[in-house]
Amino acid sequence: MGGLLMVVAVGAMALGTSALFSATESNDPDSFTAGTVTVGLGAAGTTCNLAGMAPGDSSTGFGSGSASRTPCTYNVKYTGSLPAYVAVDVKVLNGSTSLFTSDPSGLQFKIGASGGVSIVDGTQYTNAAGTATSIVAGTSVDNVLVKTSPATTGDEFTFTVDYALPTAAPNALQGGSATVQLTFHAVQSANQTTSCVAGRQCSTIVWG
Amino acid sequence: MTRSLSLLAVGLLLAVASGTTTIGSVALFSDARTLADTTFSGAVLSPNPIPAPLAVLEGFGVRVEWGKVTSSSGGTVDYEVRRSGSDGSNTGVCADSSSFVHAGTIVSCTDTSVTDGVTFTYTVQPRLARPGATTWTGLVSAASNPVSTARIRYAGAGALVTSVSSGSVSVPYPVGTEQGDLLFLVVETGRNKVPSKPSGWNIVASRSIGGSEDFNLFVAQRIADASGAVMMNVDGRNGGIALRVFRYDVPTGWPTPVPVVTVDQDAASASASLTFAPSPDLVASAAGVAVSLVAIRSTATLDLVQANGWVVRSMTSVTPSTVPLGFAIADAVVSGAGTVPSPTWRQTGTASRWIHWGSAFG
Repeated sequence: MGGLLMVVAVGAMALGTSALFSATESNDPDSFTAGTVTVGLGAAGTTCNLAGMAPGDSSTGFGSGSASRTPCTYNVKYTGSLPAYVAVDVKVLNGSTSLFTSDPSGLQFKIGASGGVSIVDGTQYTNAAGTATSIVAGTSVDNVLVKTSPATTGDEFTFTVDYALPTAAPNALQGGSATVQLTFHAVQSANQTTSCVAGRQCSTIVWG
Repeated sequence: MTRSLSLLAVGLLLAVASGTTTIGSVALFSDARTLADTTFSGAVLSPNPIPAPLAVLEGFGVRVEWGKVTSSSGGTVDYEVRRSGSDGSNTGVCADSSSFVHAGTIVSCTDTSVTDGVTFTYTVQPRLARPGATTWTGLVSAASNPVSTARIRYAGAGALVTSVSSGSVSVPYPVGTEQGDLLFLVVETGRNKVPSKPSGWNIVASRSIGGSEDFNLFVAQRIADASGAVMMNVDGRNGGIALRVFRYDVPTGWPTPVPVVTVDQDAASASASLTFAPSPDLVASAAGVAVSLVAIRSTATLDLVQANGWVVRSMTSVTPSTVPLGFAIADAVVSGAGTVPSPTWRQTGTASRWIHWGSAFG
């Protein structure tokens, strides 16, 4: 163009004695939305406060004993948007007089999750190596995987607590008490690799 | 409830509402929810322990009663009742739970296996028992009051025999009399006339009231033989006579009962009255059963206006001839050595004089 000055619509810029035409074009701003990992309550279950248990008392699903009491059920729902591994922590606490003895003489549980997954059987859980291990009162059993594959939005899980006080429960348990605490938790599955299976503790997942 | 919410990012962290947890260079989204606690409690028995039971002599047995125990399990509570004897024995009694009598908040059972001459106390321990299951027990109660067993028990009266003439009469023993039982022959004559002593019997009382309202009370005692009746020569003329045998049962194998008082009560009232309280009280040297016999010249009803633990066992009223006759027998359990408070007898007719005999056997 040599000394030809061209007028362009987009404006002019003067440089020294010269004036330059220039133009810029802006894109729309970039936006990022994080996924979520959240858990919520499901349908109302049967919350239990079981008083006056005597040797031989059991819930209907325990498989032995009186089968005269109602199991306890707790429903939770995975509500996050990201696929997530879900697990449960189990903690048994004794009162001033123990009812849970970590052996066959005291309070027994069968805690199961949806899909036939066994979380606790009697007084034992299954560790990451697949070994049945006794629950110790006051010590939390963490990260028992509830489902092998990641949960997705809307997945519901039911935890059922069946229980029994064996016929051999000794007199020392009279007036004893125990509490079971279940904590359901989830962590995103993305960027995690694991070979864990449901019903066992899982330590290869970083639970956050 | 939310444990953490974290973000997985490589080189880029995004702000999220509940915070970020970074593990090395990795952060993760996560969430947690603790569910409602499931609580369990073992059954308890209440009260625990039971207050000391009460032991009461009842015939040849001892009735033990205590307060009902309940279980928070709602199940039936059984009891273990144990007996300790002065002879060093310690025995479970009332082993069959069907022997327990439930009356409101009181439970009782009767120990019928007591033995002679021993002082017993009882304890009770509640048991939460289910078939095939460990029995949960409460604490053992404190011991009951001590009791000593009675050796005799009222078992009935024989047929009433009357006569208005002189001669021999047969007075039958009560139905069921067995050899070894303690028998009392009571004869009331409608005039001041002492009967003759029948063979084999011991006269324990024979007292008359003279005058215009004369009558006589004659009491004899023996250990039953196999004869089934006592033959007696009587004179029922001029007023009539009434005779009857009373039986006190003695358990097979127990010693022959003997008096446990040094001095019987044997008196007539000084004047006519509607009530009569024998005095002084009997003083027993050992446990047993005290017997009180009264006679009046009337067919009025006889009962106790003040029982003091006495029970009227039989009352007889008859007019064989011209004189109305009435007599009655009562007894009371004597739990051990000491004074036996007398009952106060009452009759419903017009005031009259009384003849009384009392003693105790163990």
